[in-house]
Amino acid sequence: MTSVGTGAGTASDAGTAAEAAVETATAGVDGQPQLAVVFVAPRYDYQTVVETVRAETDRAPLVGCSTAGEFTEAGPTDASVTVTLVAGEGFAAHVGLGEELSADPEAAVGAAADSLPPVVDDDRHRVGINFHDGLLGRGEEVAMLGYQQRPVPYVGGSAADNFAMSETVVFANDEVATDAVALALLSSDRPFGRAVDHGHEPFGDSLTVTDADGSVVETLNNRPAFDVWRETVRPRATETGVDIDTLSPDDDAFEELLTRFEFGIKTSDEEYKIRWPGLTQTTDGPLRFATQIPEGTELFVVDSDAEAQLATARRVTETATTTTPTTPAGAVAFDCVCQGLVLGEEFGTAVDAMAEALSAPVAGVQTYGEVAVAPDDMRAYHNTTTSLLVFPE
Amino acid sequence: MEIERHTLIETFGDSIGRQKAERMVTAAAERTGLSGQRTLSRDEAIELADCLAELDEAGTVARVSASTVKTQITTGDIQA
Repeated sequence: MTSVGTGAGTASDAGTAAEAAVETATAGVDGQPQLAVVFVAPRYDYQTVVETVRAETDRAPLVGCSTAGEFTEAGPTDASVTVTLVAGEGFAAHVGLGEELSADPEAAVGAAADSLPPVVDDDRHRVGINFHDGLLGRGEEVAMLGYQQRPVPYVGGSAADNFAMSETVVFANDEVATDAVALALLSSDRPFGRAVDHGHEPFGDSLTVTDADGSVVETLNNRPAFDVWRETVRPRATETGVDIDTLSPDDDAFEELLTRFEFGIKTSDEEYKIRWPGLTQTTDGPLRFATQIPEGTELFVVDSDAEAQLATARRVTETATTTTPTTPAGAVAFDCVCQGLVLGEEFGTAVDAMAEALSAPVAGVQTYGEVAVAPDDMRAYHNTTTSLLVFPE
Repeated sequence: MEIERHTLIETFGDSIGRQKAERMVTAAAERTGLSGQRTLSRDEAIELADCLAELDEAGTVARVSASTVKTQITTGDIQA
């Protein structure tokens, strides 16, 4: 039987915070941990945290990343070390690291996969975890390249640095690396549960990206992209009491509106994947996104308020638990930092909803983008979305 | 193994969006002489995915997506 324990440490010293997190998590597991998933706020010395967790877990395989927020079933923590431990005879994990991701994503992901066992046709169930540098803006490529190396379902996310936008890191066993990707391949004798959901609804007309370079969209429908977004959003912004025509990038409402009224790429009749334009810094031209937006992409402006995000937290957990026929032992959630911005003080309520729906330990991280790959869902990479992995008992 | 063309569009569309996927798969099918076929053999589907990656419209994301579609064809994750 598999067991899962979670713990968080908030001491100012990295080693002490890591020890506290492992001590609490260890109380929830039965036997030697087979995996440690580690989320670390940027205020800590990452290497000290990793060394401490490895020592305290008898060198269990370790994977994780830097964050823009963390939580456990006890609620959100204020800049913590958060550790999830997984133990059980039927469970196994392997971890690999690939560096120089920006120079050659394919080679870096291939190097990370070299440390993972091949996927063979047997009766075991497998899932991957993909963490990568969150400032490269290439999460979609990295998510798909991981699947190409080991074609299994994936969860994960883009490492964050609490909006400093200066450096994000991933962890793989003893290593701490920036400009890197960490892959984990987990296997179990029982099926994992997974789900992905965002809770956004489209409105307005379809918009085509007519000029873009990487993650910068210059024009939509051959007009300045910001102008088009502003026109589409204006009526709803007015309803919230914001005069969008006098808005300055220095106003809090500027980022709030770009985070609430994001874009969705229509992937099927009912499905969208969300793209966040929150890196936009001016009102006179382009929209700047957190990941690449190719020319010719069809976009819709989407809306999601706090109420919709709260409903999403519960729904994604209920969906994930129904995809595994066994009782959940625990879960790890990959939540976008934008959800925290939309929810504000209600973020703790969303965590409560998730924990209540799961009835088992859960730890989570706020990322700069979320990975969710499945054989029947190759949207692969998302913004303002929850990707959830449930470990079976 | 046979693969419906609309299944390829749906899979490719997950990555780059449905509208752009329909446009690119149609262009690739014309270029490979497969435009009249609604159902493709495994080898034809791989040929079409290869062509997708070579289209002028294909950027980095579309090229990686096309090779991901090939992985799915090879593993049997997409089929009719």
